[in-house]
Amino acid sequence: MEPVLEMKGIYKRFTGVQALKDVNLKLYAGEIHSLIGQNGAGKSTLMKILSGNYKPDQGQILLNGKPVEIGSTAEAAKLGIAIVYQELSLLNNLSVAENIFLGREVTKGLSLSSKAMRAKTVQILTELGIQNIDVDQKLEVFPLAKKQLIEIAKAISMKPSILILDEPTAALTNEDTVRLFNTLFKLKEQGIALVFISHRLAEIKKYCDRGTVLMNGSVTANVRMQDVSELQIIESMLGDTYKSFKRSEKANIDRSRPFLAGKNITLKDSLEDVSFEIYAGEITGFTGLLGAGQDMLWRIVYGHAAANSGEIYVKGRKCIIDRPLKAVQLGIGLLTENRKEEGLFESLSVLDNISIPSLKMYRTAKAFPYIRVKKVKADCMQIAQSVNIVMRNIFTPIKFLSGGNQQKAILSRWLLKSLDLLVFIEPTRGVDVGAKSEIYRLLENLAQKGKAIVVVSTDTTEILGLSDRIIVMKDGRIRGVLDTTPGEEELLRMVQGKEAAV
Amino acid sequence: MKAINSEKKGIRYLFIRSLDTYTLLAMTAILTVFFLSQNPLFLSIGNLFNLIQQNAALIIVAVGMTFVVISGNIDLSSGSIIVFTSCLAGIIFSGTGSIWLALAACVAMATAIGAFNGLLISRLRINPVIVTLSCMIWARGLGLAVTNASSIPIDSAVLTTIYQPFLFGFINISLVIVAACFVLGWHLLKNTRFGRYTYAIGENENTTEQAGVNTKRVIWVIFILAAFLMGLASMVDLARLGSSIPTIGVNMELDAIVAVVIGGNKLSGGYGSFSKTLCGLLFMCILSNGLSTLGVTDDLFFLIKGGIILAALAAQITSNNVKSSYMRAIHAK
Amino acid sequence: MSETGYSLRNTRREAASGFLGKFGILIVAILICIAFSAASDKFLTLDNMFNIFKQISIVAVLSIGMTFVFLVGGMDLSAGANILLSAVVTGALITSKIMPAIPAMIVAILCCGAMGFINGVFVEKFKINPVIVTLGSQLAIKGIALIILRNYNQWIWMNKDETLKFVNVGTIGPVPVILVIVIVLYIIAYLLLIRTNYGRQVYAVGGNEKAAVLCGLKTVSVKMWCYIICGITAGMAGIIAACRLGMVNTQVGNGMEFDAVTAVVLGGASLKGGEANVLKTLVGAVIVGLIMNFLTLNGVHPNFQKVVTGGFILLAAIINRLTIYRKA
Repeated sequence: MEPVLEMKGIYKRFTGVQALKDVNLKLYAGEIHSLIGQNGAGKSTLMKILSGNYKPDQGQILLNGKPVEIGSTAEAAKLGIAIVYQELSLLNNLSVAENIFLGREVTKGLSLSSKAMRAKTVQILTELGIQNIDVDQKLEVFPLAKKQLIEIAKAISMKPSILILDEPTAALTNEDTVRLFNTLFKLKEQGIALVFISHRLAEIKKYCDRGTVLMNGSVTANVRMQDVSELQIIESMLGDTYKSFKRSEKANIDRSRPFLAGKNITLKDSLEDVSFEIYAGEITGFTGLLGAGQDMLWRIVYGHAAANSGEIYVKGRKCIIDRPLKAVQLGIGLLTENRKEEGLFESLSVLDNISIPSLKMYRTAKAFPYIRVKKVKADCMQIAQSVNIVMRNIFTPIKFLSGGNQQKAILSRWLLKSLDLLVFIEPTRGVDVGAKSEIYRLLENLAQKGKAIVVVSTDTTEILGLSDRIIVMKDGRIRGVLDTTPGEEELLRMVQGKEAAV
Repeated sequence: MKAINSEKKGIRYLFIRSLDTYTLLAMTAILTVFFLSQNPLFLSIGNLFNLIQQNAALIIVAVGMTFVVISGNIDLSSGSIIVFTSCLAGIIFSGTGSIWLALAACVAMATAIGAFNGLLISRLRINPVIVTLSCMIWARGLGLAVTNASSIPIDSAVLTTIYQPFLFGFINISLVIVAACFVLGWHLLKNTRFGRYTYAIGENENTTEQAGVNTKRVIWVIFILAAFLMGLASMVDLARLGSSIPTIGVNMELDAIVAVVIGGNKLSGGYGSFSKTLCGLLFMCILSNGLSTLGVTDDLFFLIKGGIILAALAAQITSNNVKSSYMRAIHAK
Repeated sequence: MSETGYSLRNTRREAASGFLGKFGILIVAILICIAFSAASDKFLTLDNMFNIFKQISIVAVLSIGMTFVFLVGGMDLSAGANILLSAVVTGALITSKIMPAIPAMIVAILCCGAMGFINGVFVEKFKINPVIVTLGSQLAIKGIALIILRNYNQWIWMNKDETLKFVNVGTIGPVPVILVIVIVLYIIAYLLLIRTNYGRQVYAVGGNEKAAVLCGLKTVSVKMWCYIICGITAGMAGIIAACRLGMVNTQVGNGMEFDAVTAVVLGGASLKGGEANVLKTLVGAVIVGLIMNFLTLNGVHPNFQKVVTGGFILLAAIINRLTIYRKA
């Protein structure tokens, strides 16, 4: 059988990073093909080439045997390639039907035929086996899982021959995942070629037919799922780095007094009675499905969001943290997963990005506000060098740095402030693999120096490698606290709620 | 979706869902009561009729402004475009004696300016505040310059017929124009692709563009439409005053935007409707009309009007906040 | 979340627009000076230069405050009315002999600062769009000023006061007092923005407010002070206006907020915040002043001058858009 789509010898480079090296991919009709790899391995980049967002530096794309050039997202759509990203492309202020028909509305003369579109939408959803959705409801009321299904329905309604799904199950429970795959199986029957991007091995093994494994931009394996074991997949995915990033030694941690303790934190529909303790010198990993509450929890602790009830104790004393300013004063720093929107001052220099929160202590005199620039520069340079930020000089605007270096710069911001507890949400998101291990080493060093570190991540591999202790959350509750290191599959099952033979 | 939440059918939900509208109507009622106490004729048919007649231009402009705001943009040029086109019409009339030419030029020039502004905003991506702010300055200046800041009386039978009642003793052409603009605008926003795209662009222009919509063209047309309506408004004002007066249209831009925003259309875009604009217009018209029937002098007028507008906006925002936190609590994550 | 897609081609454009971005406006100003001095040999004399500077001083001072407000993503369209208020308050206090010149000026500045504070409250605490807020407060402030002015029959003569005369025509050494004031204010503003904690926070809050909150910065307070500073500079500008004109009537300060906006936009500011620069604003104010001066000298009617101002803002924005590097 001929492949519906073939990518041959694809190369793609971004400044400083070779994202894809000689990548080959074959997709067949009626097959679910999984694209496997760690964060930063190149999966998204490869798919963005297919979807028309990027152009490859070298290589060929063949659609049904004929070479094609995909110059834009519109062209990709015309060629029958549809992609569903994790960041959904739906509009919250429109209804389901309006969203699905956006750009392709059915009209009678100049007016919209709302009834016709509504009926067609219901038909599309039913054909896909998606139930219980009121197509006239505005999109903003639906939970993420439903929105994903609607997004898939939208992609399907354009009758693509290739459908790419980028990490669709990160937010889904078991039931949702089953439902999703029922829909995907229907598509399989219709002869559509499906690409399923994930690093959740259990699902991949269970649902996909074949898979291509990427590591550091190159293909390390191209297999039929029934022929390989999970372990073999993991090895192709991680290669040597898996063996190399383990904590060098698990320290002896003084558990007599927690640095921070949270008690009975509750937020309606997000968190339910969450209590935990964080100790100095330890890396505590929080993990769970997307939306299980682990990131919301820390935003609440940091004062960025509010809870309905609960208490926080820092060094034994009860504290009320209603804004980030208070958290910082108590010695807590937070790095969110969204550095572009919530971390970087894009137009400012690296120096500014590192130093601005700490400038108060550089005043020439207590009352006189003039800053001693030389000292600021010296201190920032020292920290930047210690974390190995690659930049032309410290005055370079931070937007010119690569993702990994930007992340390190924001990290440095908190280092300059000498805090006691550092919380990182998805610390290596959008970071190339080289910088990733540097960041891991850095976190380990910080813990050894006695700081309390919290890492929140949906990447179970990362959590496993980094943490002294793992706290698993599901549906807003703490599912379990693990002191000894579990296997990845066991952790994954716990994250998803175990029991149900998936 | 979960089974219909029983809370949703409750009275409290239905009330809070339209809290911003109710707040506005309450404030309008308070103002009305106050003005009524000062002037018992405030709610007379004659005065109510006056209300609409005097604010005909504002209502027409607000129709266009509704589209602009829902698409996430802003247009500060209404007052100045009205001044400029009105002066232009005056000059053409006194030069050629043809009222039709003057009126056509009025509307055509307005549309042309709208097209120009729209191009800068949609293609060159210059911030609409800057584009329309500068238009506000140069258009007014141009109007004043070409007429030497003096009024040009326009004596024309055509203009007088616009205000002559022909139906039921009070309906005249200007009212028909106002009603037509409003109704057509409502239909356009609710039932056509153009209207839907306006909402979509207001919510997220990028996503809408990805869906294949030519967002640049839609935004361009929105500004052309708004300016066209300003031209119509200018025409209506010309007819009402019988001449082109360069000092009219002062603060029209603020009045129009406030009417649209205070009614509940969000300036950030993607949310709103003509019924909201209607409520906002009601408030603004009653405010202006009431203050002038009180015989308030110029300077005090500014102070009071400005103060009330700010207070009303503050009240609206507060009620919006209450509404959002309630809505968030009701819907699951 | 993909890697940033910068290609090598972009870096050269970056370098070019970085230079243009920083010095472009200075080059424009110099070109204009050259053009004018070619047209008239009296142009480049010290006397003339001083005169021109005195004329643009009002807008120049106002532009300082406008820069701050633009830096945090806002705008203050009530500034012209604030200038009127300041002039009126100063004039009223002095001519009614309620207090001597210097305390009167201080009171005026404080009043205007208070107005700025009120603007800040509506923009920050009530989260209303600054354009709408300041259009509204423009009305209110104008109203207050006009009410006070009504008691003086719409006109206050101020040329009797010695202090005011000094400000107007006096000199410190060879340099006019007004010029000294403007330069000192700009130096203070520059140092404030570049070398103090507060100033850097202004850039941070304007650049990315969410990130600033997460860093623990007091964003609301930072933004409020920007509006207050704008009010204060409007107050100072109003005093200078009163001194220069020798009288106060209802037209003082009319439309000056737009000249200030032009200056700031010419100086490369972005309406989103975080990208303005006082020095470039100064050059922008000088350019605006030079062109207006040229037009007035050549008998161009004030109404046409408005056309030029409006066109200017547009031109500045277009040039801004075309030359400054934005990520593709």
